[in-house]
Amino acid sequence: MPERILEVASLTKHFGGLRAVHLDLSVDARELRCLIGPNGAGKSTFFRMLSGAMRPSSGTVRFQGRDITGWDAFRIARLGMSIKFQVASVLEELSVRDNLHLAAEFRFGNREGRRRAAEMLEVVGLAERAEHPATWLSHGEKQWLEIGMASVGEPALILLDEPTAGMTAEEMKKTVRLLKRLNEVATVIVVEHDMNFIRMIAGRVTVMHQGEVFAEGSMEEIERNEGVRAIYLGKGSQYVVRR
Amino acid sequence: MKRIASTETLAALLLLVPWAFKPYTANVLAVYMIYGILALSLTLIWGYAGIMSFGQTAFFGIGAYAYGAIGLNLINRTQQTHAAVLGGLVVAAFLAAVVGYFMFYGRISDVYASIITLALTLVLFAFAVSTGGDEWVIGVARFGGFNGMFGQGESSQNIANFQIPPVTVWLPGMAQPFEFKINRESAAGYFLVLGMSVVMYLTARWLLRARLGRVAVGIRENEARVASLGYDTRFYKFALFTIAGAIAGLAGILFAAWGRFVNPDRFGLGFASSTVVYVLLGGRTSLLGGFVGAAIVGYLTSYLAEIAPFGTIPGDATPWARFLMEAGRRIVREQGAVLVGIVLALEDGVTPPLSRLLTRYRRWAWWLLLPAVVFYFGQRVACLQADVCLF
Repeated sequence: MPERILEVASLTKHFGGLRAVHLDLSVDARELRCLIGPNGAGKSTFFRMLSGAMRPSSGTVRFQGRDITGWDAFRIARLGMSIKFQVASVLEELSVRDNLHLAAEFRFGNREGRRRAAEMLEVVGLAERAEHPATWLSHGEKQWLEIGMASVGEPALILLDEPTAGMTAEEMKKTVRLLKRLNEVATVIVVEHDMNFIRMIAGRVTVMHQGEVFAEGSMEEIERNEGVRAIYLGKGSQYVVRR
Repeated sequence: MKRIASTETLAALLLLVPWAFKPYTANVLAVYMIYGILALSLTLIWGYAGIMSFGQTAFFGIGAYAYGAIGLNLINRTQQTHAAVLGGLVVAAFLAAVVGYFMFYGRISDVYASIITLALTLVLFAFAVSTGGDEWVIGVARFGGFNGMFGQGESSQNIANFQIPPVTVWLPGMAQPFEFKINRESAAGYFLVLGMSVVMYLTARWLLRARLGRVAVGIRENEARVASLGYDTRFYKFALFTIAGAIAGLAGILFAAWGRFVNPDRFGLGFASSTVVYVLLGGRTSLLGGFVGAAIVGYLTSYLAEIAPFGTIPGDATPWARFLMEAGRRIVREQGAVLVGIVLALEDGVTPPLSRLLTRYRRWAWWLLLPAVVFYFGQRVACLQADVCLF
């Protein structure tokens, strides 16, 4: 049986009276997990709690066997979890190379970090734009840069929040190849809206709805699921999870 | 043709000043450079890490007062001020470390950082003003309230009060102590300030190339992102803030030793906002910017004050003189508007576009500007030698 890298138990976030997220989830090491769900399902909030950008109201997160609930973001990152945010948040004024170097440096030090950054430039296909400030990149290129930054430190778990938002079909294919390559060494959790993308990466799918896990299974199973179709078509009210 | 490195050329020209100008000019340039070092510390923390410290003068002032207090007590006993320089640095860095610790580890947002530092310098101002009484004394160093710090003789009424000493060095093997003064005999004080400016500039440049600087720029761009890469951003902000505080403290030490005087104005709102203006005007993203801004503001202030005396315009002035004086007065009054205009027109201050111009027209700079400057300096040296100079 494969090792559990991430175990989330009753993780809850309240915003005032609204319970935005309340879920249990576990992910095996080296898994490629897709997280889907309609807008407002709580996917990004869940990611923010995992990565330490937001403190959960209650519940626990165990990562690599350690309870990291409520840890600071930088400590969680040092333990080997990295995140690509939903809104591409590269360091705009720094060059593409420096962005990657900064991401690699804390783990590998200055010189080795520089070498790894150069390698990653090739992997994400931005070698020709290495010296440009990141703000000059196109939307898709920024996404790749962020994926590069999230993976250059060789984390055990990579969280990707909408890596293909705004990409062309060609760019998306490239991103799928990139993701599969990352998945060879790391566990990856991807939040996506694009069903074609989910089909292409063909991982296990978890459907979130109103902050809870609604269904889980392979893409075929999920596509056959009446309830999932209904919540995506906006008829989900009768499928509210009974509490 | 080699590129003219404008920074190096500028430093070389400044090195020649004591031979080409009378001590007055060296004195004025020294204080511009001292303010430049202070502005450099703000550039580091504001321009690179994005933390606006409105009260960088707190560390400047505390450094100056600490140097004064220790120096006054030391000078008559040991004939040198080594410990005063060190003490000023330590006190300024310590204050910055304490304030920085609570600000950054308390997760105070950056807007509050500027309010807190401003409040700090104003609190210190209020404190320094209220130290006029006889009880505010450390050894022989009287705080002196509004009048500023002095060393007292036998009693506070004694005429033998004395001033804060210049930086004085007496190392083993030296026959007598050496004072860094600026006068007709010596320009050592000027070279000390110039040397310190260069050292601080190089230190800042080195810091920015090291990990600390790269992370700082990352924090300016997107703090949450840098934290999610594994950097404890609080520590980096704290470290850079402490270093900037120490640099501001060094400027304060040089100031107290240069003017042999310090009073509560160094903590005041006027000086605090001037420092911000130096940086804005010179350019927040250029390490040279603070120096350029300080020199421009300093020059404008003294020059405009000369052409626009603060007295009333005499009734018998000719219409032309009247017009000029009125115009001068208005310019002084509108100086703030001039600065605001420059800042609005040139978002990055004057230094980056200036150095871009120099780089683009380096042929002209090489063949016209440099010879002109060399000729000017040569003519200055010649007239000083012949003793026919006016200034």
